[in-house]
Amino acid sequence: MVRCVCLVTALLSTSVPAHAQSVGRETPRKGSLELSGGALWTGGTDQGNATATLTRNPSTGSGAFELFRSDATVGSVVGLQARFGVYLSSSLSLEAGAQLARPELRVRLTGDSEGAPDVTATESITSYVFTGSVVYHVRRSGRFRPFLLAGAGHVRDLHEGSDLVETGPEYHAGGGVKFWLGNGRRKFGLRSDVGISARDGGVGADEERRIVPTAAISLAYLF
Amino acid sequence: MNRATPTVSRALVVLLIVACIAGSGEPASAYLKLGTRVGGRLVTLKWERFPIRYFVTNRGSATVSPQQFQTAVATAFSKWDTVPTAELSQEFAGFTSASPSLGDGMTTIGFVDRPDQDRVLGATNFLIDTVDGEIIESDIFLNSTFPYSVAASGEVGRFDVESIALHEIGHLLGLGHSAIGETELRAGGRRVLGAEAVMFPIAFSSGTIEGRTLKADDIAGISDIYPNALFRSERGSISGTVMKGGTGVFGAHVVAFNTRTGKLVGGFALNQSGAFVIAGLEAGPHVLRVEPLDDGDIESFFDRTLNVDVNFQVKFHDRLIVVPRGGGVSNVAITVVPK
Repeated sequence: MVRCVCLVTALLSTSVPAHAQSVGRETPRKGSLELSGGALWTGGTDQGNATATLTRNPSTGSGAFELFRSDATVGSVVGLQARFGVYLSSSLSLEAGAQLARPELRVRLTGDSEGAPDVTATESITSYVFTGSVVYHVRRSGRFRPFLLAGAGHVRDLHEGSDLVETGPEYHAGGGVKFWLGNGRRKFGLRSDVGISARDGGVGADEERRIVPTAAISLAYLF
Repeated sequence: MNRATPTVSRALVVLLIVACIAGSGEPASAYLKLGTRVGGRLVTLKWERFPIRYFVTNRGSATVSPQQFQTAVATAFSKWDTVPTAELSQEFAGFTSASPSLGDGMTTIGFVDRPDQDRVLGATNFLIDTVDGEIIESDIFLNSTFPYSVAASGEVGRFDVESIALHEIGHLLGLGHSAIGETELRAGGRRVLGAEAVMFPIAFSSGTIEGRTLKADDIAGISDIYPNALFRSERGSISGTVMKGGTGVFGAHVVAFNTRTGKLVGGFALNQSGAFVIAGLEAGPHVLRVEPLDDGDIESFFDRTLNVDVNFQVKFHDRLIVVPRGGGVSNVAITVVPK
């Protein structure tokens, strides 16, 4: 999926002709608003492993007695994302966003001491991420506007079939490109992003920070 | 019930718990509350009045003095007392020349020579109110036929008093045997390979002090009987059924494994519908593993009149069960297949 988004970005960049300069003055200025929405891919993460152990009777050997082993992962997932931005200048904007995805937590169970067949136990998670970002547009004008962004957010993960909610902070950074389709002040465009999201909360089989790659493609409207 | 007429309303019920067996016993996994049937319903055995006042006999063993014994017993009691999610208390009432026997109105702990019970390290019995399950009196004996030690790091060839006392006091407080452990059959009996509960029925070999530490299963069990506010607000439960061919599997042992903490807490299917409950679980995802009590003495866990089904294969449930804080997940349906 990362490759797909990168390809879209590349196509957008190569399809922009030289006359993009001619519409530069029509594009965002202080006070312009931008609304976008589309698909967001979030990469999976290894959540570590844990072994179910018994305290060994010292007379029978050393080390813990292993009952079985578990390896946990959160699968990659495609979800939805919406963002609303306000331009502070032609190159700088602030954005608020919301993401919704339903990743799967998988725990692979192996090596049972009494021969239980290996199984992957799963659950679906409903994951919300609310973000705030600062966006810097590298080019101030033109149809093709690369940008960099960074920000922070809040993760809110709901476990399946339970009242358990796990929350925590989120930090992200990345970049992408916007390609505006019209010439006026109000126009539609396409936007693609890639980035990294670091999550200190939310679902995970261990307590370590999760760092996940993200990629998104959206339809944008500038007004 | 009218507590002023105890001879009418109370019945003497002796539950002999073979607590720590030296060499013969059984494996499996989970905490079990002691209970009794009253008027067709099962009630949990528990103390209702605190602190629990106990006496220690003034008779030592060949290697342990009464004072050393009392110190080890007090340490063991304090470990149960200080479980953060349970609310109970005890008080040492003094030494006594009385032996640990029922009916004298004293809860007494001490050594008794029982050479006839050559595999029993210790046992606990009870006087209970058969109307509400309240424990009126309980006595513990450690079999002084065996050599004991109170050394800080144990002594070769001697059983650790604190470890055995910790197990027996678990019974005294109302816990049955846990099945979180594995054993192997050898000439002369069964040997424990590993256990993750003080309440496992078979003791570790002599010379070790591994049994001095309460495990997650013990803590969940005692907290389930004597819950405090923290237990109610922070711990959760899983309940459901274990079925085989459309019928419940009585005695199936279900263990919940917390994938974050690695803690194991178990429970049993306790009726013919195969219904089980595992309480005292920390919030978060759990793996469920079901196993039969098929490699040991089932009577360490259940009354011999009950028909425990051990003819099914060990299996993992294929869904993660997420335990909420202060709540429960119900209707977890696990299906097993015959061996």
